[in-house]
Amino acid sequence: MKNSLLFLLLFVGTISASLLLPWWIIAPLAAVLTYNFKTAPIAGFFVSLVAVLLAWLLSIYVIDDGTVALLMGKLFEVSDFAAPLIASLVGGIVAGLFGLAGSFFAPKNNTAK
Amino acid sequence: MRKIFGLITLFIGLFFVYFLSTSQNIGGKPIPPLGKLLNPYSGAWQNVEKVDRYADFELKSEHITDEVKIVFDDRMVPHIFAQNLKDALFAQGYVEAYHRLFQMDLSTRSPDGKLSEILGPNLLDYDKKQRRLGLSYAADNAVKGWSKFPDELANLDAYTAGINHYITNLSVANYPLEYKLLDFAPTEWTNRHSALLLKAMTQTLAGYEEDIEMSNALLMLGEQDFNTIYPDRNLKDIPVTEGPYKKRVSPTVTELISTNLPSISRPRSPDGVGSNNWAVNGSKSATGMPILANDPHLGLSLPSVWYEIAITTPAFSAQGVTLLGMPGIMIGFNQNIAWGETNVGHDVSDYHTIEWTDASKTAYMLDDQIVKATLKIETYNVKGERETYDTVRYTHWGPVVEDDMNLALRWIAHDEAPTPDFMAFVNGMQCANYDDYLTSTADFYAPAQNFIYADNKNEIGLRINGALPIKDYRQGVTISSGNKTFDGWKGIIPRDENPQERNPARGYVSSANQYSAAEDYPYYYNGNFEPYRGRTVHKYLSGKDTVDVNYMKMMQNSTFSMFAKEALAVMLPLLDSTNAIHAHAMGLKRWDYHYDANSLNPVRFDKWFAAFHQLLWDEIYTQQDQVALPNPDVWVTVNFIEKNPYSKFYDLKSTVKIETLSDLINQSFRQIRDDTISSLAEEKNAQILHLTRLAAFSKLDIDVGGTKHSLNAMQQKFGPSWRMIVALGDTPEAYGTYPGGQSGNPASPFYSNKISTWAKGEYDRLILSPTPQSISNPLFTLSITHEK
Repeated sequence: MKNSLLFLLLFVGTISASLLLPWWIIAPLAAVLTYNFKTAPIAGFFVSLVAVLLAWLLSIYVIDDGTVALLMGKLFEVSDFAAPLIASLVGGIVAGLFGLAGSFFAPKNNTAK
Repeated sequence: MRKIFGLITLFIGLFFVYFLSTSQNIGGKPIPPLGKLLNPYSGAWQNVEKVDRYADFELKSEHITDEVKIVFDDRMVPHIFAQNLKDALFAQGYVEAYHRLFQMDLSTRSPDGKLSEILGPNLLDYDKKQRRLGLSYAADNAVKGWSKFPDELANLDAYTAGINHYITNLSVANYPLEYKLLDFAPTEWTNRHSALLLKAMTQTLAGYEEDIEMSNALLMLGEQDFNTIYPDRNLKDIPVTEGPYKKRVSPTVTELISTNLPSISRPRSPDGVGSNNWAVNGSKSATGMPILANDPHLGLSLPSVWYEIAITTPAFSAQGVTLLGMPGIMIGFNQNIAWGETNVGHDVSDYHTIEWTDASKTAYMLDDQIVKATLKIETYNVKGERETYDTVRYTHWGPVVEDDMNLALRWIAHDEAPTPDFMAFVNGMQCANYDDYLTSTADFYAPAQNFIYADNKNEIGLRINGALPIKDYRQGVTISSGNKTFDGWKGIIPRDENPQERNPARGYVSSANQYSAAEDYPYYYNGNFEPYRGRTVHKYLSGKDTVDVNYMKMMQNSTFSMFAKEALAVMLPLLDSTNAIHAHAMGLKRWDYHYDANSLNPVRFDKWFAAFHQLLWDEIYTQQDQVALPNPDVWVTVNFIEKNPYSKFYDLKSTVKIETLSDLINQSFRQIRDDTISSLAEEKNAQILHLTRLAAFSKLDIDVGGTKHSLNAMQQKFGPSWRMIVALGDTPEAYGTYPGGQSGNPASPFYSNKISTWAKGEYDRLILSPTPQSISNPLFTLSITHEK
């Protein structure tokens, strides 16, 4: 339940914070949230990764009509299907690492699953 | 323990953020800042342009006095409606930056020697060469000159303010894609940027010189053979203007200088840059009114070289193409007139010897006096590296381009123009008659162009506008002496005496980079002139009593090669019986000399002629690895074999046997006989590369015919960059096409959308729209209002 809330906050937080702040805002966001949620490290990593990855992927899907995906695909020599996934993975990994760091720093919470 | 893990993870995370926020170079491969580039909120994804999302928008600026409306038509061409000229130019600057900011930035960085700042150390050598050629010095001089004309300068200021209005209001998310990829930010535009652009154009179009190579050739060949292989004039050519002129009596003859020097590796104008233009008057046109055509051939790029634009004020309404970064319309038309330009090949770039007083090379001898050189320290802020410096010595003649050569460059590009030359295209687009047009364009300084003109009062004309130096006979063919100021140019030809024609009896005017005037022209000139296209234009125009727009479309797209026709007339009959029945020869015998995309014959001919040309001038080609020598021109070869059945040049130096012309022709044929020949399009592999050369943003494998000597002068990367035809009348009927699109954004549907139309030889109708309401299916409208 807590992880679902974390996921939701990260997902919504990524989209809303990124509209005004630089792309790396996902890093402190993930760290602060996992710290406050006292998330277990493994969950901290994966929930952050998946939440930001999906937030970016959805945003890209809404923003792009496939033209930029095609261009980025050509640029990085991957398919236009893979390009948004790889882009989102970039965000996801950064968030995952900071989510992991945040959970490591948080005091252990025995009730956390 | 957890804290330690936390710290480790935090450091890895921070490293990732740093790595993804900065440009990297891994194993020589540049990696863009992936986090910045790929995030959805400010990265590349923001550069998407959806056709159904275009919407009207408004701006406010203190720089304009009245309301301006800019309507983008269904081809994304901006139609500017302003109440006065300055407001219109502000709007022009704005829309150019709106669509092409990165291109404008990059094309001024090249002459300024600042590419390595954004592209890294690989470009440092190029930057140094550009600065040593004095291009940034030239731009500084131009700005200095312009400052003396405050009234005219106010127009450029308005244009610059328009560009800056766009730049200063640009958010990071809206940076053009290339800025995100290369990780830099747009900087303020200044009038100097426009000067740099003009200098870059001068380099491309008037950067020609082969002084060192010619001096070496003179030493190696002796004067007689030198004059045979590198003649001043092609007597078969039909010059742009036919005179008659009053020949000057006994001009002073310059002494040519022989040398043995390594060649300077200089960024120079590429082979094949050129253009066509012609205009027929009413007596020769199907409409009874003049029709004008122009197509400049340049290095093709994406974003496209040109930008289509229409400008309307209460005083005029004009349309055409503009060079990004320069106000006004360079090639276009208005209600009454049409105009265009082709390049003039006069040599306006001469090397002079410098006699230094000592090894420190800080002072030199001039007119038997010791003169101090000016040392200019050039600073380079190379991306990812420390600042580096380079010292360039400036002399009376200009910069010493390479220190160990002791040669200084006198180049027209360095001059402080005595006129506000940037106004030529601003004033030109407003004219309604030829006298006005002549006055408006008289200020143009460099690169000199054949300005062609036609109007709906049935006048046609052509004049070279630009500074042409007064030279002694044969001055500048080789390196020139630099000991006396008298060794330099003797001034600039008065503009009224520049080659020109007005309503000539033949009923048309034309130019295609050939000689400007016949030998009776009172001033000596030499240079780089096109030998076949000019005559081809004459062939088409003199051979037809009445021409119309469709005929001109056919001409612009013609792949006929007069070069191939003349060469094969000598070469084919000399083939021996074995060679004559070979498929290549049989094909060439039936060939109509058209360089069509799917034909094999152009490839057969090109390969054969190249092999023959190399054998014929083995005296030159076998020496080129020892000493820098100019390549003999192909027209020299054709004219030579037409006239000389026997010559010592036919003998190959490498054999004991004494070869004949027929031996060379058959030997060269045998060299290519077993070659697999593919179609011209496959062989040519035409492509239009993005300015960064990134394949992802380029268009490759374009299926087009043409050759540098046909009117459709399409080579692999050079070709017709804007084809325009205007039939004048009560309202002009105009057509245009270019290989690109209006937008510089690779993600825009208007980035390369015109390439297929252009490749097929088709045209868009260009409709002059006098009011915003008269534009059908606009994409969106931009309104600019005054703000205090």
